[in-house]
Amino acid sequence: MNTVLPVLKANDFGSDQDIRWCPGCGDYSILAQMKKVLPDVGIPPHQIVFVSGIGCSSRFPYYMNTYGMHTIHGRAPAVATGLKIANPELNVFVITGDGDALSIGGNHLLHLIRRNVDLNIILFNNRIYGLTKGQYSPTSQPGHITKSTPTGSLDHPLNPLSVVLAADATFVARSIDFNTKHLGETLYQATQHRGTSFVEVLQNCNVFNDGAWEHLTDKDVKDDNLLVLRHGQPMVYGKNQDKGVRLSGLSPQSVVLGGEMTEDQLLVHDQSLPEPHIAHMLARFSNPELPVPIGVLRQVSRPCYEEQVWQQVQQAKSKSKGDLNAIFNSGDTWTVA
Amino acid sequence: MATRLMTPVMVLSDGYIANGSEPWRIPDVNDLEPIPVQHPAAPTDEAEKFLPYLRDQLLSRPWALPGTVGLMHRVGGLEKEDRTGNVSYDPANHQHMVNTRAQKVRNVNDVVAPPQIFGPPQGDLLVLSWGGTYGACRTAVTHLQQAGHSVSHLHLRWVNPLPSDLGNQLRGFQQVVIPELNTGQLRQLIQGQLQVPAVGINKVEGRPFSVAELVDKIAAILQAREADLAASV
Ligand SMILES: Cc1ncc(C[n+]2csc(CCOP(=O)(O)OP(=O)(O)O)c2C)c(N)n1
Ligand code: SF4
Ligand SMILES: [Mg+2]
Repeated sequence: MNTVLPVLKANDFGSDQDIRWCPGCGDYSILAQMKKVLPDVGIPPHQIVFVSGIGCSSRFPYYMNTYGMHTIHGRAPAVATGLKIANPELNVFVITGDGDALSIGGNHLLHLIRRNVDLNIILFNNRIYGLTKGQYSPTSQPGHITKSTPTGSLDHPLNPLSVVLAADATFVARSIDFNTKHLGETLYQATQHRGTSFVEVLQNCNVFNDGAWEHLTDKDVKDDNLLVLRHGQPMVYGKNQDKGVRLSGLSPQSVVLGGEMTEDQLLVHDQSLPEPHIAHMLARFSNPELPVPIGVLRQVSRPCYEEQVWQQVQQAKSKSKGDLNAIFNSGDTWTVA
Repeated sequence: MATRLMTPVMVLSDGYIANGSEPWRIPDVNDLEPIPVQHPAAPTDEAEKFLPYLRDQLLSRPWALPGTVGLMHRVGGLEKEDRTGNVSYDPANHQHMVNTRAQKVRNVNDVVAPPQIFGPPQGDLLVLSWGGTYGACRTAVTHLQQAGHSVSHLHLRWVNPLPSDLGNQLRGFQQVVIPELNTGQLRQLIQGQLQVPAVGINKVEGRPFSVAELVDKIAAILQAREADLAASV
């Protein structure tokens, strides 16, 4: 039977709840893009679950008209894993922040990713604890002065993409709240991946860490600081598309195109490389020496955890029909006369 | 209990239960009480608004499964409006919801049978226990009863909420003794929540109580009180 599916619009995915983010917060843009992308993904709201931890970013599920779980600080990965195993038909999103995912939830994040559970992680990286009013986070820069680092942070920061690549993530991408078109496209691509997809969204907290990504969003400088990755394309960047990245020995190098320096000497982006070496290298690009890459760094295929769990269950069932009485009466048992 | 009241249940265990062994009667699976679980179905009328924070007579909420058409809702740490489950910042609603959740947990006592006292319901001394000390406490009390002492035993299987009538049960005795393999956790709860004074027998040597040890200590507590009473006449 052919049922005609209703055509869903962005508004069908939004809830009627008051949004409590500060005016001007980058989270609004991520919410808007998510609502815009979901109709294209073509999954009805009742089959979608947003699972979050704690933080400004983690309030996201309340603003979607889907199922939602605002869980415990850092523990969204555990809840989401259970949910996906219980019902693999569901489309699950984990919404998290730099604090939620990388401080208290650091270990949960790694285990979710290495298991390759088929869900999408969106990490809102504002390099600060927003909800608790501005303490430094694991992605804050050294020297950063915050409420909890009054004389400047001494901590060496984590690079979220390096962390998840180390856990062998099968889909790794980065985008920016300001860059709405790119953000929408990246979120869409993440939903199309089978396995754990990880998207770092560079997000501005205009109240407690305003301008953290200004060098990547200011229209005068951003094009010279950003590298927009495109699968199969040479790594060209710059306001006039006159710069590129090539390998010099084993090290990446920014070069100016022209004269002897031609595009065919540049690195060509291949997100499907089975080994993550180049992706690791890309993840570490930083200004001013190299442009900061956005787009999909890596997309490879590996079996999904929940699928394998259900295979094991089926195998066990095919070997014997579960009989609780038999289990109760097995082992060290005897009959009392 | 977890599914009936839609609340997390924590099972406390201890090293003695985990490592000890004793013969157990194997239950027949068919005699086990079923655990009925209900999930609301998709609404038949599209205009019907699902109320995820509506409660039944025990104050338990419906368990709507993600994936069900029309029941989309959000759960989580922010306070919710009664019935609708919308995020709520209203002070009176917050008070109401805190009270409601506390009452829901107390409603465990409407489902669980109250604990029974082993021995007379009144007397000189009650031994109150929980967890893996059950065997040593029960045997020690049996010995003391056989020796003619007015001693009874009450073993708790549910520690939170405490049974509704526990205070009255404890007040039937001149003294309450709580043997525990810690520094007095249950004793604090009993004294704090029920205002019933209790004497602790406490040990944290990584070894269980022996029956003889409990018999001696309880007998000494009985004797000390007799001596006190004699001195005060
Ligand atoms: C167990 C626990 N520890 C600490 C906190 C306090 N806390 C709330 S949000 C937060 C950090 C949030 O930072 P991030 O994940 O970056 O989210 P943002 O608000 O920046 O979006 C912390 C430490 C908490 N709620 N729970
Ligand atoms: S504190 Fe920062 S991250 Fe949180 S809502 Fe306000 S602007 Fe956004
Ligand atoms: Mg943050």
